Amino acid sequence: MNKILLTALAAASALAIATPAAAQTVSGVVNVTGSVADKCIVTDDGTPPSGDFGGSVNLGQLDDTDGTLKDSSVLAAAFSAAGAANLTYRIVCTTPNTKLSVNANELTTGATVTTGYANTVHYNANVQLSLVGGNQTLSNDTLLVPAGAEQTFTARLATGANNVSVTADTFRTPGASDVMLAGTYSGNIQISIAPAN
Amino acid sequence: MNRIVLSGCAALAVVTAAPALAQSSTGTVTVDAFVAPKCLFTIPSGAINIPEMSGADGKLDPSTVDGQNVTLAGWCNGTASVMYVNATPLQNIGTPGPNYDNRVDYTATALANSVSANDTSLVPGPGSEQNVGLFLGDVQVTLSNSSSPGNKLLLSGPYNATVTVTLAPAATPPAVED
Repeated sequence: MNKILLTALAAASALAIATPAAAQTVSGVVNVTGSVADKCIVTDDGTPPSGDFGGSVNLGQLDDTDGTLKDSSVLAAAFSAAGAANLTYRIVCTTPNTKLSVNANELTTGATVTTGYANTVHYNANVQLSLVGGNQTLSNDTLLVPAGAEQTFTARLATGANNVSVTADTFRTPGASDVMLAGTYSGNIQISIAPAN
Repeated sequence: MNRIVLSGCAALAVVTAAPALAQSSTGTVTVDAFVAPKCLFTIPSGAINIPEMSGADGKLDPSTVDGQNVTLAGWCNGTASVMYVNATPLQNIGTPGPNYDNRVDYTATALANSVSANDTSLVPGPGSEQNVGLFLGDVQVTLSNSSSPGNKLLLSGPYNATVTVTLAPAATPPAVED
């Protein structure tokens, strides 16, 4: 009888009860940060002769039949006739505000001027921005001192269609009755669009 | 002993993107044009009226012709501009016969911008071109050196002549008078 009991006890003691370990998870965190720089990007550059965007305008013959400068309205129309491909652009800026600079340089020819003649044509350049909330225009006249104009608009450039356009008006010679010197004339309008906060 | 095995800790990874510098866009619109060289008379015509060309002897009195002048006005906008003159004789349409002249010749001189160009009516066609350059102002035309072919009596009646002053933006071959 004792024998049997021992066997049972041994059997009993041989039983090892393995208790299951408690469930346990671990977690990790990956922090991801990024940034978008303050920038303005050109997505429709027109036909730039240099720089990021721009175009070329050929006003053709400047003088009227009497040798003086053609009427300003005629030259303004000739300027606009250069078309959207040269005078409208699309710029995308990442900042809530937009800083615009315009510097118009007069048309000149290399010939030396004498009394009664003009070798220079002054004009007023206009750069219009399509902004969220409406259009804004910054103008610069070639005679203004100091040269150039700058303004920060508290709005973003509108998305979608081209949002920068250029016109010119108020063409004139230093003297209203000046006869235009013969030659080729050239000038330019410099534009800068920068991000602003 | 229970063993709790820790699996490898998840590495904490922080990924950042360094911000780029602010970037603006610049544009340029070039504007080109031209003015062709040209000349224009603002006062394109004038008249010289000589009431009486003959002297007491019936022959040409040069003093009635020489010194006569008229002022035109104009401009040229290029430095290569030229000026030339073409003078035709003072001519009466009558038939002079052997004892009369029906023609008076002279020299016409145009002065512009301190440059002179002239022509004698004795020779058909214009005189030589002169570079008048860039100018804006008077063009004074003066007659001189008048003569009649045979120094004979002048036929009575009207005598007519034309002095043509040409301003050209650049040197051109002078036209030959027919």
